[in-house]
Amino acid sequence: MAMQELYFNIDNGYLEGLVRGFKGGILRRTDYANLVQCETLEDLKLHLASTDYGNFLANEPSPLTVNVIDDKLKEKMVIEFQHMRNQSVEPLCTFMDFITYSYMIDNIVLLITGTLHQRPISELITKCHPLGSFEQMEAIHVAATPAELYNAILIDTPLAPFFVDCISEQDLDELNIEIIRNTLYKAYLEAFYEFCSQLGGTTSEFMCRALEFEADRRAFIITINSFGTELTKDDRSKLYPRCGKLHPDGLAALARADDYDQVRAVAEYYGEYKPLFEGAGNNPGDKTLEDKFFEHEVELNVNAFMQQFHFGVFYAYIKLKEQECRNIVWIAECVAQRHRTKIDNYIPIL
Amino acid sequence: MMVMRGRLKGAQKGHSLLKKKADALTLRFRQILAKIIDTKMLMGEVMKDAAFSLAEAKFIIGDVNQIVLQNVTKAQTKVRFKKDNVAGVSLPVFEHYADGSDTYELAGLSRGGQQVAKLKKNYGKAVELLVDLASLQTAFITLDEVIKITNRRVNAIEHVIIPRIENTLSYIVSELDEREREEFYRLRNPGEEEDNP
Repeated sequence: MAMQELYFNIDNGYLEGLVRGFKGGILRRTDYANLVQCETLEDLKLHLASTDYGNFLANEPSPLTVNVIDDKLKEKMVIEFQHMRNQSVEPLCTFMDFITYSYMIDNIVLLITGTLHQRPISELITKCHPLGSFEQMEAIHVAATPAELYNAILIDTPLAPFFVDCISEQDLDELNIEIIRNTLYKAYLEAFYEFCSQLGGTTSEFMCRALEFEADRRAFIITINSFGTELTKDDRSKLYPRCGKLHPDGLAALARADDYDQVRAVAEYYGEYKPLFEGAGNNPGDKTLEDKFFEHEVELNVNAFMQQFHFGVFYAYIKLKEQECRNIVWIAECVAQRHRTKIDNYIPIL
Repeated sequence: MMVMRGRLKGAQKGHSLLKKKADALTLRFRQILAKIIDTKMLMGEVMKDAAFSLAEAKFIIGDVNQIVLQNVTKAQTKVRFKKDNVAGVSLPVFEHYADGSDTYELAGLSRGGQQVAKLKKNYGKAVELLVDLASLQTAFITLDEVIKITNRRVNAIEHVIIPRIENTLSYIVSELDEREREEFYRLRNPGEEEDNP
C-alpha cells in the first residue's frame, strides 16, 4: 500500500496539485454571505468577479438571466475537468471516465426520449450535458426505436455493459424512461464500486465510502418517492444499487416498506443514516431529507482532501463544484424572483 | 293613422324592453370586471409561487425542464367549451378537466420527487386559474360587444325611429286636417258657384 503512494506523484502529481488549487477557489461562507445580500443579478455578477470565477460573465449581453449564469458556471467546471482529463494517464483516466458516465446516462436518456417523440437531433444535442458527450451522439437520429438505438449505437459506447446486465431489448421499448435511467445508474454505480475496490489503497477507502453513501441514498429516495405511484415493490427493489451498506438486509427491508415511517425505521439500524432522518421533516422551516443528504455528501467530499495521493480528490472536486453551481443558481433565482425567505437554503461547503 | 299609432306604441315598448336588457347586461359586466381584477391579482401570487417551486426543484434535480419537455405526448389538462345564457346573450365559458393518467408519475424518482410533486401541484393551480381567467375575459369581450349593440339599438329607437314615427303621425294629422278643410272649402264652394253662373 505504501509503495503505491510513493509512486503516485510520477503520474498524477501535477493533476493532484492542480485539483487542490481548484479546490482552493471554491466559495467560502463569507462569499456566500456577500452573494445573499445582493439585490440584483448585476450585483451578483460583481461579487462573483472578486472570487475565483473572475470575469466569466464579462462578455454576456445584459440583461443577465439565471439561465446564462447557470450555463457559464457549468462551462467553467467542464473546462477545468477536461483539462485534467486530457493530462491524465491510466488508471486515472479510466477513473475520470467513470465520473463522466453518470452524465452520459442522463444524456442518453434525454436522447432516447427525444428520438421517441421525433424531436430534431440538433436541438437535443445542445441540451446534453457537455461532460457526458460521446462520439456516437450525432448518429442517434438513424434509430427510430430504442431497440434499434441500442443495437446500432449504444452498443459501441462505454455504457453498453450497463445495458447488458439489466435491460433486454423489449424492456427498452416498454419500460418507463425513468426506470431505464435508474437501472442504468444502478449498474454504473456497481461497476464503479468494483473498479475502485480494485484500485486499492486510499482511493478505494474514500471512493467506496462515497459510493456506498450514494447507493444507500438512492435506495432511500427511490423508496420514498415510489409511494403512491404505479411502481411495484419488485420493480422497486430491482432499482436498488447493491454496493451500499444497506445490502442485503436493509435493501430487503426497504423493498417491503409501505410508508415513510417504515423507511425511517430501517434507517434507525444504521448509525450514519439515523441522524439524517431525525432532523428532516416536511414542515416549513425544516430541512428536507434531500437537503440533509446533500449536506452529508458535502461533508464526505470535503474530507477527501484531508488525505493525499489518491484519486478521490478528483471525484470530490467535481461533486463539490456541482453543489457550488447549484448553490449559486439557487441564490440567483431567489434574487431574480425577489423571494428572499428561503435564500439561505443553500448548502455551505467550506 | 291607427296603424301609425300602433307602430308608435310598439316602438316605445321595444325601447323600454331593450333598455332593461342593456341595464342587466351592464350589471353583469361590472360583476365580471370585479372578478377579473381579483383573479388577476391571485394569478400574480400563484405564478410567483409556481416559479419559486421550479427554482427549488432545479436546485435538487438539476435540469428538470428537459425531463418534462422531452416526455410530452398529449395534454393532460384539457379545456371544454360551454355556453352560459345571460339575459338572452350566450356567453362562452371554459371548463378544465384532466384527461388521462399522470405521465410524469415517476419523474424525479431518484432525486427530488417531492419537489416535482409540489411543482406539479403549483403549476396545476396556475393552469386552472388561467383557464378561469380566459373564460372571464372572453365573456367580458362578448358582453362588451353585445352591450354596445344593444345601446346602439336603444339610441336608434329613441332618437330616430320614434321621432320619425311621431313626425309621420303629425304629418298625417296635419294632412287630414288640411283635407278636412279642403272638403269643407269644396263643399262650401259649389254652393257659391251655383250662386254665380
